[in-house]
Amino acid sequence: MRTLNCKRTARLISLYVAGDLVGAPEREVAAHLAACEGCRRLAEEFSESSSLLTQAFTPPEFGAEFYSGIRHAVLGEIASERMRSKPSLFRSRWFYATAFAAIVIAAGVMLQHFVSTRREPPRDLVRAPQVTGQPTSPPEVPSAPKKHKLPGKRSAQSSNVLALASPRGSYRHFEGMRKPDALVTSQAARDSRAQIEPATQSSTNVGSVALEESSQVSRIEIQTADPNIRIIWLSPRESRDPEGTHHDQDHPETGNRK
Amino acid sequence: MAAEMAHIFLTDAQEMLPPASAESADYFAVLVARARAGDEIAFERIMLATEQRVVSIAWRMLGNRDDARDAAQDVYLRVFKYLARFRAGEDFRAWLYRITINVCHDFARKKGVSGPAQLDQIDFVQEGAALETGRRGADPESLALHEQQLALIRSALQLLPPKERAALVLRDLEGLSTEEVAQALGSRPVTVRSQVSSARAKIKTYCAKLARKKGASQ
Repeated sequence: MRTLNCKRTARLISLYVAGDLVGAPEREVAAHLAACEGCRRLAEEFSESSSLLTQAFTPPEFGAEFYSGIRHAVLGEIASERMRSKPSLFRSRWFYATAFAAIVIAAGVMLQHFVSTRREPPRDLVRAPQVTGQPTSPPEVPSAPKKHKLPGKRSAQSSNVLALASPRGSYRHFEGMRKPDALVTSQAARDSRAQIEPATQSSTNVGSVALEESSQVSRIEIQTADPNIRIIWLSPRESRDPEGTHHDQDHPETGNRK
Repeated sequence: MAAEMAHIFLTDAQEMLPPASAESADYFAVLVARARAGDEIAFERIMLATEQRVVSIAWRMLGNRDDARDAAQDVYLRVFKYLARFRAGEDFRAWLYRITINVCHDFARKKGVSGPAQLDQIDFVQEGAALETGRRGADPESLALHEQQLALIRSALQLLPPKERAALVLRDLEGLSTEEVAQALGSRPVTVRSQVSSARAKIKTYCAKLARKKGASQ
């Protein structure tokens, strides 16, 4: 058996006192303590401090209420935590995502509907083609585009009617046109129509445009986005009757019977 | 009616559990499995089986009753929260003691208990020491002196480094083996022996100083 010196024994003596050493180290320390008075005193000090430590930390009686209080507090906290973490409809991310998607779709549908209603003109304002029976004499169409102005007051209905006349028979789209010099009164328009409408043969509707063609003149009525504004385009065509014997005597609207 | 049903349910649940006296690894394994599945009764049984040891460790680590109660509550809340992380086959009690030690370290850090400035705030109950001195039949003066000596030893423990304190509490005061302490602290037995040996030497030195002061005063 190996003999320990005091320095090495001092390092192991606390373990020896607490019973942590087994086997050969325990026997070696025990042999050294039997022979060394100083180390034996050191072992007694360790033993005494260990006893004091145990005395100092002897736990009190906490009582059944103390422990039941801990249990109730823990179980109550667990129950409340479960209640908090319980899945709810309004805590679901899918709920908010679905609601947001529904709102976006609804907004898109409403916007599309609004835009389509703004672009589509009222159907009752698109004039139907006027057919006035047999072609008569060519109307008195001004040789050049002529601006007519009605003297005096303009009625609310007539102030929004545009009438244009073009020497060429080409089709033009005047929707949205707002030039002041192109404005004529309804009286002027009526005058023009009185001269032109007897000569209608065919007409074509293009969207908000009513196109009337006759042997003498082409009449184009354009309904603008504003339902109160209508553009009338009168375009003379080459006369099929070179003698000019036909006149608009039987026009039902003008009533210029002769 | 509801109380009767709860009683019946509790009785049935208790009958299906292993006997509490066993407190073996299998006993805790069954309880832990049931508690993981949301069985609160099983969790309560775990608390019943371990609460005294948990409170004792907390009281010895923290030094007063209120902190020990709060720490024990925190320990069991952590156990419930991290029960899913507990690996099957591991020693549940070692896992529980590790959580207890960690909670006590957190408490001490928050309250700043460890340190010389807070030594006079330590509020240990004196029943054990008073009983011991009463047995000796000491006079009131020696009783008061002994009380003071024990209070100083408690203060000495609070001065130890946290790891040494935990090792000393579990090994010398709670009576766990070195291997169990190592398992609870997540270290090796050699390390625990070293920590415990160092802590004992410091306590012994502190007690020797006290004894010298005591001899000088007499």
